[in-house]
Amino acid sequence: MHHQRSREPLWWLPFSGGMMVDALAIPALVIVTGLLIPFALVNPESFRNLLIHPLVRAAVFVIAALSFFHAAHRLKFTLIDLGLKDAKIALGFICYGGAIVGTLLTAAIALGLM
Amino acid sequence: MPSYPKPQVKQYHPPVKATWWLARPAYIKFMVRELTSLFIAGYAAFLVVLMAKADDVAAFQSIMDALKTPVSILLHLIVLGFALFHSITFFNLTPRVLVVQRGEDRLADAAIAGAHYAMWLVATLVILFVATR
Repeated sequence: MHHQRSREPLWWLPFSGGMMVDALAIPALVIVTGLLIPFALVNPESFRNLLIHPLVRAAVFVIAALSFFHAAHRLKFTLIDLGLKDAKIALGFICYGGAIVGTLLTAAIALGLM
Repeated sequence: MPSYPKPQVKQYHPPVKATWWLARPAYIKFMVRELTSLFIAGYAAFLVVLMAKADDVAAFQSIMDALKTPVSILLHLIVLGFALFHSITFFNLTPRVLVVQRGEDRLADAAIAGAHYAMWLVATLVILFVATR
């Protein structure tokens, strides 16, 4: 009997990478844009210059891409758990497709193409 | 060898209500954990927008002005709450996921979680240092 191999492990790497990167980096980043900039503890102009730096752009790309895949994976299985069991394949296309489109857009923006 | 028709077995799936996760605090915690990833992805998309506008001084400045509004600060505090919930529950879970064997013994749970909390502290300090320098 032939079993089709699950493609699921393919999605685990960006999923678990997203879990780790989100846990490490997001609270500090939210503190910067949500509190330090509004309360003038971070200079907006130097923050703008940081976002032009290639290393920072690469970091934002990695964080965003992993976050998109992490959320896509969780959203897919949460919706299945909430009763959309029959739409499993469509949900996979929508969730992972959205993450792929988001990642491509982010790459284009990070490279200055958009 | 006689051939028998395949038995027509239908699996029974008891009906599950979409609100099943409200039944127990542990289920609610699970759902909140799932939800954190959406808030974080939304925030990541906002970072990408900031990056997209970084070479447009006027557009960037108007976003910086918008960050000072109470609505923005409130949204950031909500995201911060979800982000902290994700970080803390994830780091507390790391000893379950990562088993470090040293000879006969397993590295203690507290050591593994502690190492991750230390990494979190370092990452946070690096980001805050780079941003405020």
